[in-house]
Amino acid sequence: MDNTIDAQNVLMRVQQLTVEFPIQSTKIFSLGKQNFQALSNVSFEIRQGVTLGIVGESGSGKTTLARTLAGLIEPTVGSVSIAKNITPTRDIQFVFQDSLAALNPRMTVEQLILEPLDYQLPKMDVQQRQQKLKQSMEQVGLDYAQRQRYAHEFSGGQCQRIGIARAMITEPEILICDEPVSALDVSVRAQVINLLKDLQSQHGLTLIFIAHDLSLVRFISDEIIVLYRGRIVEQGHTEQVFNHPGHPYTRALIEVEPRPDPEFERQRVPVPIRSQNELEISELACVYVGRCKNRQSKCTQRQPEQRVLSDKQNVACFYPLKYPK
Amino acid sequence: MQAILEAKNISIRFNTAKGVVYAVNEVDLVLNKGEVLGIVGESGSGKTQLMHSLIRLLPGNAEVSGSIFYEGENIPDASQTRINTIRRNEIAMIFQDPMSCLNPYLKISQQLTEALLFDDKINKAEALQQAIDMLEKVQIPDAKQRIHSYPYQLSGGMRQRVMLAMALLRKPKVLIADEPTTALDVTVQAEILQLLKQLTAEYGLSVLFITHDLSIVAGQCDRVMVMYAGQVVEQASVNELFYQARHPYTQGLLASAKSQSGMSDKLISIAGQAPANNQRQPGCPFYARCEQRIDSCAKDTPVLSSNGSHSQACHLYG
Repeated sequence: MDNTIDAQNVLMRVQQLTVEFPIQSTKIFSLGKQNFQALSNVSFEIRQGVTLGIVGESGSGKTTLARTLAGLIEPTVGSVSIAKNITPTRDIQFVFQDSLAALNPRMTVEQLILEPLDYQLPKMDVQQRQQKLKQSMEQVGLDYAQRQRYAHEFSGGQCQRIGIARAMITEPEILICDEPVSALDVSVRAQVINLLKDLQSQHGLTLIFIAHDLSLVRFISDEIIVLYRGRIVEQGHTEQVFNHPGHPYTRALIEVEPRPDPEFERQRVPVPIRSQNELEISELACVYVGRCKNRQSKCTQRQPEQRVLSDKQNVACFYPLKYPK
Repeated sequence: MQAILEAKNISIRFNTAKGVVYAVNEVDLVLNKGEVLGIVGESGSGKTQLMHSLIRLLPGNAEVSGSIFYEGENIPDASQTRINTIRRNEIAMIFQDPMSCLNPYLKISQQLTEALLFDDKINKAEALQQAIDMLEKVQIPDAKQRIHSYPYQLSGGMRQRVMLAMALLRKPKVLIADEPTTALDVTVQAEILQLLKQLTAEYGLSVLFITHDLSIVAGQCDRVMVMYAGQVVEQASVNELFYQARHPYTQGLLASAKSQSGMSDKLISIAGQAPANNQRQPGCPFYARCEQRIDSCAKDTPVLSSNGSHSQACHLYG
């Protein structure tokens, strides 16, 4: 990670990022090491105050991407650059999916929330710290009177609030949220999303919001990236991508999501179930070719590069979906 | 309609080191032949405990009261041998996390044929063939080869298909599906839901479908029961529940589900959180979060009252 960006408003720039992990070969006598490519050739920019949604199914590389952005994983190829005024340890913070697992069970809420200050601002005096604690607990909707309790005494939604308060205490510029509401009940999810939205508007925060379902991402994101097997298959402005998805995978993600409407569900056309194994897929082929309804011979020969579909949308597909004007 | 599974006045309490936990309170449940009944509730609402009580899967510290009848047979009084037979042949169950239900040390083939070989007079080759046929039914490609895999060699969606195959092998009459797609990706979820629907019709199953997701209920179920804090707060046909919801909790759940699937401009939540279940207080359990509460809600616990097929436990409806 390097502090080289001087451009206005751009906080982070990811260029041709590839992340590989070594894997153990299943063969006993294999030559050399094998690598699994978790991310391939990923590029994008994050501008200040913008919420970027990253969507993908399990195994798509979204968590690897988040961790690389936070500097927890070194890129194999490519680079992650950040703006000159950013100190990664203080200005980039993380909110995890399983908040209870992310919080030390032996620490009180007070200790948990204030811990980052021990490293970032060790000289702060006790009174200031208490004031900061009170402020940050109230900001996320926690009761300051409960500061001596332990994480397990709180509900899932409240634990997520503790996680957010802890992340916000150093007043970061960028907050990376990795599936922050996936483990929460439906009625509580919206509370946490709305809290993140409020924090963003109050602090001019830049949010990176990772999720596996599109519908929630739609609410919170200005821009969206759709990942499939480590590649960006589509990226652009949220509304544009939602209303006119260019990649067949993006459209499938939008269409298959069940809706709370029995009449709509009764009219749903069954999805054709297509096995991944029904054709020999060359390593060079498009990553989505195995499941694609629109595939043509070209798709089995090479991976499409990203191309501009409109000024608000890029797509990596030879035959992007078209819509009547 | 004829009931296949009927539970009356079920209460479940757990005696724990920290005191008594009231998981389910005076719940009635009727599953009719051939119908899919959805049980909707958030974490801690008691939906899973209620299902487990139906086939006596609860741990030793659980105290269950009430009566449960499967096709007229009293479940709480049945012998352990009889219960095992019912679980093997009559009432099958699939769970949220297939990985923790499949034995990691055994090949799929062994796990699938185990129940078949238990009391049937068939040999191993026949059992294996039946298992392969069932894997093809649940649309596992290359079933002949795949049946010799270990669970870790299969993806999450494939494992859930194996679970479903295992559940259906003995041609049960009732299927209890406990959040069967919660751990899956949306595209895989769509495939599994479609498969479940198709096989339910084909085998004439009666299904108890447990989920926290109202959107899934809309597409899968005929009737719905909404649970909150261990009680049934509303029960109706799918259409009645989705288009004429009565209980404020159901209304809130629906509004937040609708907003989350892009059907409104604002993201809607229900303020507050579910009450602790280590004590029972008078009054409606939803009182603290309810926007339509009236005076009587604080004092009297509302009971389920019905008007035809649609019932609700709420003072706003008399």
